[in-house]
Formats: sequence, structure tokens, C-alpha cells
Amino acid sequence: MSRLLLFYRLIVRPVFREPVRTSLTVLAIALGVAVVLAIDLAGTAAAGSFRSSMETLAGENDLEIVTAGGVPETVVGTLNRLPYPLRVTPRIEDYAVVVENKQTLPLIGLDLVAERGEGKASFGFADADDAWKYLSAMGSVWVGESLGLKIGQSITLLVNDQVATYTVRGVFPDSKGNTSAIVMDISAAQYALKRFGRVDRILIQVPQSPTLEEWRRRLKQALPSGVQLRAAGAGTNENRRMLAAFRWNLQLLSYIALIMGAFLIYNTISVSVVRRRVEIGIVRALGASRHLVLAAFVGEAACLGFLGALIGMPLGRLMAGGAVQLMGATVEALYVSSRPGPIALTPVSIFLAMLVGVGVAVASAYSPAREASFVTPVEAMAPGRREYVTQVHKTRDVWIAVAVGLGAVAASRAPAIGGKPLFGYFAAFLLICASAFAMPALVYAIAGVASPLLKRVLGVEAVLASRSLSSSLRRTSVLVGALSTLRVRRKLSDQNMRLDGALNNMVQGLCMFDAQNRLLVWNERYRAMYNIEPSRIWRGCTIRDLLDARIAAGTFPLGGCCLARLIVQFRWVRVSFSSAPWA
Amino acid sequence: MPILSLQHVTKDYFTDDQPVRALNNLSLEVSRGEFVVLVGRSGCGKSTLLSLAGAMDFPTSGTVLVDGVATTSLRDDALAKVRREKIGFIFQSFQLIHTLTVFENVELPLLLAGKKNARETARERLSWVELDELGRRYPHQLSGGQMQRVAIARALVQSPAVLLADEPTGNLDTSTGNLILELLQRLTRQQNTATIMATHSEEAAALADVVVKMRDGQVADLMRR
Repeated sequence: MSRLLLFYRLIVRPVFREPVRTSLTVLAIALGVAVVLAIDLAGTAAAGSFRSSMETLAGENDLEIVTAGGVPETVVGTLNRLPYPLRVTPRIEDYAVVVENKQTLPLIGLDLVAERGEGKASFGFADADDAWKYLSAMGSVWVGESLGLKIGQSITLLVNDQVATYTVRGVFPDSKGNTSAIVMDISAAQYALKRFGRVDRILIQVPQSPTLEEWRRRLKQALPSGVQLRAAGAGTNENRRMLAAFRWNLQLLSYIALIMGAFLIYNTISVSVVRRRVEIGIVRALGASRHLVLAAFVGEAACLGFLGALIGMPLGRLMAGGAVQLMGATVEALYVSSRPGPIALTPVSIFLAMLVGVGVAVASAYSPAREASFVTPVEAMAPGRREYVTQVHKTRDVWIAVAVGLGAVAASRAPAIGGKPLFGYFAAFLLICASAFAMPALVYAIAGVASPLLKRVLGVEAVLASRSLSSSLRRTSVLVGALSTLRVRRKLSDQNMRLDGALNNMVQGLCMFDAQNRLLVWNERYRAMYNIEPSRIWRGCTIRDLLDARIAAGTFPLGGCCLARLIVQFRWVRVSFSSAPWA
Repeated sequence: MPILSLQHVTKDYFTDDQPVRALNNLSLEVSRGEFVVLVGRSGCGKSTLLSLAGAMDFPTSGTVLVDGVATTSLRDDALAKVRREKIGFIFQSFQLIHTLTVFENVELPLLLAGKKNARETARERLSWVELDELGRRYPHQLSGGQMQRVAIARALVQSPAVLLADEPTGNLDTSTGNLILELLQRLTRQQNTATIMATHSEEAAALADVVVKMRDGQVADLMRR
């Protein structure tokens, strides 16, 4: 009880005597917590109900066949001729834009004759007798009920750069957390997309016996080379992984907002320690131990963090509403269609907010609080007798900065772990540390050089200001380091987001290499086009690695027509091939 | 047995990497109820002696015993406990905490020690220095003499065995300074405390049981009365 009373009198009360600085610090923490919480809540909501519309309409399947450039239709015939009771469903998959409202929807071509025959899917034929007539018409579509269209109404779609008007022949329910889709008969979809003779996927349902592995083995024997047989929904899982990576990236970027909060906490506690140095000396002389002083200042930061988290929680919930729209749009545009779920502030979210607010505050206050605990009681006896000089070893710190900077360079070149650029984030963190270590020498040098000039131009006040800068090198260094790194990082992340968005919206597959033939950037379209396993493509991999991955995926036509020469001693010499019959 | 004993104590400071010897093989013993005055020129080591005697600093060599316990053998927590329970400090510039009231300043050592009934004890100590009526005031609402009396009340609140005072009248006019000195002498007698006071004041020296003249970090002369 007496400790609490002490804490209130010596720590809490002085904090309230500086309302502006205290409010700014709490606000910074609140904003940091709010951004992290908003991104977390929005991410959960955006992905919470995620399930590809394409998968929903696919029904229950065990295996799927895919290949780059589409699976030849003849494979459907091959499968149907096998002496096994398989259900084979060929599919065309793409996107269509509703011209009226620019809404992008999945376009799915299904063998509606087979679907109807199986009695599995109901696409709401108005009249069973007219079904064949509808199916034979190229302008028939079936739409999800959420589009609000009725049978017989028209819908104008942009498909494959062609605008055409289609007639709604049926409406299917799409209320299971999925966005709507446009369904066509497979032949109409092939016609609209100009994909004659090919389908995007063939879904296969196999009997329960024998095992799935045995079915996989049997089917593989029957399939032509170059096509990939994999578990059904592998593409969805891939999308899930991409979505998870997207969320992970956003979450880590949101932590940048916390850096400012962390800095302000550091600054607040540092200023508090400097201003109250004599007070600390008095309390130490009266019998306070180092641990008590450390606990008091860490406690001060924890209180500020707690207040910040309390304010940040409702703020984060509000911000999540806007963030979920933005994230939903990005998910739609870059990955797969989904409908955001409700935003829920769960006990876990509240715990996370508290942990982030208090944790960041305590971590950033630890260093100045520790400095406070080392104030000797002697300082109470004769303030100013021993001038307070922060021990900054400039030369040693420059060497540490170089070492940490090299560590950052090494970390930035390391491959992703589990698809996550953990080392990249670690590199950013090391960069902040390196900046902070290098800054004392830099600030000191600049202040030294500028001092005579400042005196001449701006007078003695400017010299005093520059001296003040040099005398609080540690605090100044953290400020300059954090701000400069923040600025650079912000610019980089903006560019990355823009570049990623642009690359992933391209119709073409793209990959770019540096002068050493190492992969710099690529888009998802490129990876999907050649069916490259995600684990086999990474920043820094060579052309050779990529070609190996393509050979493994069966999407490099080594046995093709006229591949001239390929790779000699890791150097790209010349590749040309043509599929023209006269070549 | 002396309550405070400094045995062959040497203390070196470093200024611009050059060692400066503040105390040089100094020995001194003080018993309960003794009023000891340290006199000497500035820089002769008076304040350094007080900081070592008050377990606020460590000697470079030699031993400091407070109530029989060597301060050099203690860790920070134990040293803080010695300061809290055995030592009372009075500083030249009062060193009251300006965000706390008079009561709260005096209660501070009791709260640090986790003692109960802090307010009653503080009120009693303030009555010793005739300031119990001003307990709710803040330090800036007091005169210099009143502030030093609050500091004395705070120093005595834990009934310490040793009271250390570093030029307690240095910031006061002569008449107020004399009142403070008389108060200190009276309380030393009443509480049976060992009081060591560093001062330039001749009046203080006249009140002392023991006058220690210091020169160049050593005891130049010791006069008992």
C-alpha cells in the first residue's frame, strides 16, 4: 500500500503536471495500438469468411488436374473412358466485370449438362424442358442471388476484353459467405474466353476405396505427361497462404506506427529522468534501492502504455471498419473473391492491444529507467558537483553500427522462412539499431563543424542549441535514427505496395533479374503460369533454379521442338523455340 | 562501541582521467549522542567524508562501519536499507521534493520503509521542529529556515542512529542559521543521535562536542569538549 502511495505521489502526480507531453505520449501509443488492432481485426474479418467462390461451386472433389496454359479437353475424354466410377468435372475459371457497376466477379464455366445430370448443383433452370435450349445459347448465364437479378433479365459483362450482353437463365444461392459469381456452360465460357479445346481444371471425385494415393497412382498412369494431378483445393490453399502472407506483411507494417509511440515513451521517460535527477538522488539518499527506482519509471511507462491501449482499443475498432473495406478490396483485386466477415473485438484482441501498448511502453522505457536507477545518492548532496554526462562512446558505437549494418545487409539477403520475409523485417530492425548507434558520432561531428558557422550566422543562441543537441546525444540519436529509418521504410513500403499491386494485376507473367541473373521481382501470374511450387521461387534465386523448378513442374518443354541451347555454366546463352509446324 | 567508524579510509576521484585524492587514510569514530562538527576549507574532504559515512558512496580503500556493519560488504538493496534505517540526511539546499507537501516530504522515508501510521509519525516529527501547523503547505510556500526545519524533521522521522548534515546553515541568514544549529544540538541530545555536521560556521563549532579540523583529506586536528 505504501509503495502504491509512493508511486502515486512521485510518479503519477508529476505526470499529470505535464498534461501536453503526457497527452502526446499517450496519444502516440493509442494510435500505434489502434493501427495494430485495426489491421488485426480487419485482417481476421477480411479472411475470416474467406472461401473461394470457385471452390464453393466445385462441390466435393478429391483430386484436380491442372497445367500451364490449360488442360486439353481430350483429357476429360481419357478420364471418362477409364473403367472406374469417377465423377469428372471440367471447369473454366476466369473473371468477368459487370459493366454497370464495374464489379469484378469470378466467371466459372461448368459442364451444366453433366451437373444437371448428376443432380448435384441446381442452377435454377426456369423450365426443365427449356434447359437444353438455354445451354445451347451462348448468351446464357446463371448468377448468384446477391446480384439481385431475376431470371430473364439482362446483364452486360466485360469478358476477355469483349463487352457482351447475357441473359440470366437462373439464380443460385450464394449466401454462405461467398461473393457472387457468373456461371456459364463450359462451351459458352470457352467461346467467351477464346479458350477452345482447353479447360482450366478438371475436378475428379473418386470412390472411397481404394485409397486416394492408389487413385492418384492409377490416374497418373492414364494421364499424358505435362499435366499435374494434385489434391483438390490446392489452389485455394495456395490463395490462403498468399492471403496469410498479405496479412502478415500488413501487420508488420502496422508495427511501424508503434515505433513512434515507442520513441515518444523513450523520450518522455528520458526527459523525466533528466529533469528529476536530483529528486532521484534525494529518494536514493533517503533509502530507495536501484530496483525501486527502476520499477517506478518502468511503472510510469506501463501506466502510459495502459492508458494508450485503453484509448487505442475503441479507436482501433473504429479504424478496422475502414481498413476491412480497403483490405477486402485488395484481397479481391490481388488474390481471390471473398466477402468480409463481421469485425469482432474478442478477448484475444483486447489482450493483444494491452500487450502491445504496455509491452512497447515498458520495453522502450527500460533503458532510461535503468539509467535512472544508476543515479547515485551523492547527486542529492551536491547537485552539479558531478556534472551529469551521458556516457556515449562515439567511436565504439560507430564500429557497432558498422557491424549491425552489415548484419542488416546479410539479413536482407536471406531467403524467406515459410514464405515470410522474417529476415527482411529483422534487417529493418537492425537498420534502426545501426542508425541509432551511428548517430551520436554523426550528430557530434555535424554540431562541431556547424558550430562556428552557426555562431557567425545566427548568433550565440544557435551555438547553445547545437551544444544542447550534442549534450543529449543518446536521446537525439534515437530520435534521428528512428525518424530517418521510418521515412526510408515508409517510402519503401509504399513503393512495394504499389509495385506488388501493379505486378499482381498484370495479365502477363513477369519476372525480373539483376545483373547477376538473380531474381529480383516476379508476379503471381508468372508463378501460376508455369505451375512453379511457391517454395521453389524466391528473391535471389537464379534462372537455373527457376528452370529446374519448371522442369520439376513439367512446364518446361525440354522435349519440345527446337530449343537451341540452354544454359552453359550458369550463363544464359540463347533460347528460341517455335511451335509452328514448319519450324 | 562507536555507532560510526571510519578506519584508514581513502577516497580517490577521477577528473579528466587524473586521480584526485579527496580523503587520505582518514580514521574517525563517533558515538551515539555526540555532536561532531567537521571544519576546514572547501575541497578538504568534508562532504566526501559525509557521503562515505552515509553509505552513499564507497571508499577506495579502508573500512566504513555503520552500527558495526561494513558498508563495502553490502549490495545496493542492503545499502539502501542502511540509509533508510540508520542514517538521516540534512542537505545544504534542503532537497525537499517540490511536488510533495510538507507532510508528504516527511513521510517519504517511512513509505520507502513500508511503515504504517506514517502521517502520525510525520506530524509528531514536525511538532519537534514546530511546523506541524504547516503540514499541508508545499515547500515553495515556506521560508528558507522553515524548509530546513522540514528537512530536519524528515531526517529524524525514522529515528536514525546517525544524523549527517552538510552545511545545513549555508543557505540561511545568521539568525535563522543559529536557530537551526540550536535545534540540531537539542534534538541530538534528546534522541541520543550521533550527529556529524560539515560547516564553515564558527557558531556551529562552538556548539559541538567534537570539532574535527580537516586538511587535504586528513584529520588535521580533533578537539573534544
